[in-house]
Amino acid sequence: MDIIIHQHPGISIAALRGEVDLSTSACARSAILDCLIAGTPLLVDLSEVTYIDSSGIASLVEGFRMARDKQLTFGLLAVSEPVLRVLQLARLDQVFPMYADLDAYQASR
Amino acid sequence: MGDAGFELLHELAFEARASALNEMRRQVSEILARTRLRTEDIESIVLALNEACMNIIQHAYRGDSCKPIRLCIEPHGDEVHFELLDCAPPIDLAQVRGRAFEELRPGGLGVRFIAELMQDVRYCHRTESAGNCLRMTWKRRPATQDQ
Repeated sequence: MDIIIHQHPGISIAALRGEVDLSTSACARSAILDCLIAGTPLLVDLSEVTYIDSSGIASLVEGFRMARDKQLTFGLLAVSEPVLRVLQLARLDQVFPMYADLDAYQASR
Repeated sequence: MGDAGFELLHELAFEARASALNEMRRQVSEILARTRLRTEDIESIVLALNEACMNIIQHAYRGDSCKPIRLCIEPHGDEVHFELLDCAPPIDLAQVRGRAFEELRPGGLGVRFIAELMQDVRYCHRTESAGNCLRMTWKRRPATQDQ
């Protein structure tokens, strides 16, 4: 799994790519939480995530909860089909704010 | 031969390491792709097996180890039977429970995923040797009109 952090005016985007599973989710968790600890609103781009398991979902839940506690924006961007199916299974598709792309996020502000 | 395709017992063995799960998923997908299961069903089954293996690694073996996990896969008609075996100390079967989906917290999702994705799930202690056994059955759901 690769993680690339893009800085945009007013928000960071953490783009994950590949498989987010037990062997990689700790890196995803660190990247997400580091952005939020720095006080940066965050979108997690999941467009190129081909597989996610409950450990990856747990990283997203942790990010969501930390952002809520710090009153920061946290959302998911361009969620891939495999990830969406797991979010639906976990009943989280109605919990996380999700946007088709950055334009859709900015239009929602 | 049933609708699920050919019926052979497949057996995989791998070490209880997080880094071994990718290869497990690949092999299971390959085996199930030879049946007539839909891609979406294969993905669900692979997710459930991955979660079960994660639980063995994290909770039965208490972390990565070179100890074994054995997975048997048996397609049978409209069902696929799975058996996962480890050699870890016996787990407390009463403690195997997932969290409610409504609780928004990390952890506890794996057992719920397995329960949602498989139609029959039984945890037990192995009798022939030390370790734990998880038997799961996936059953093809009746087709709806839009399928």
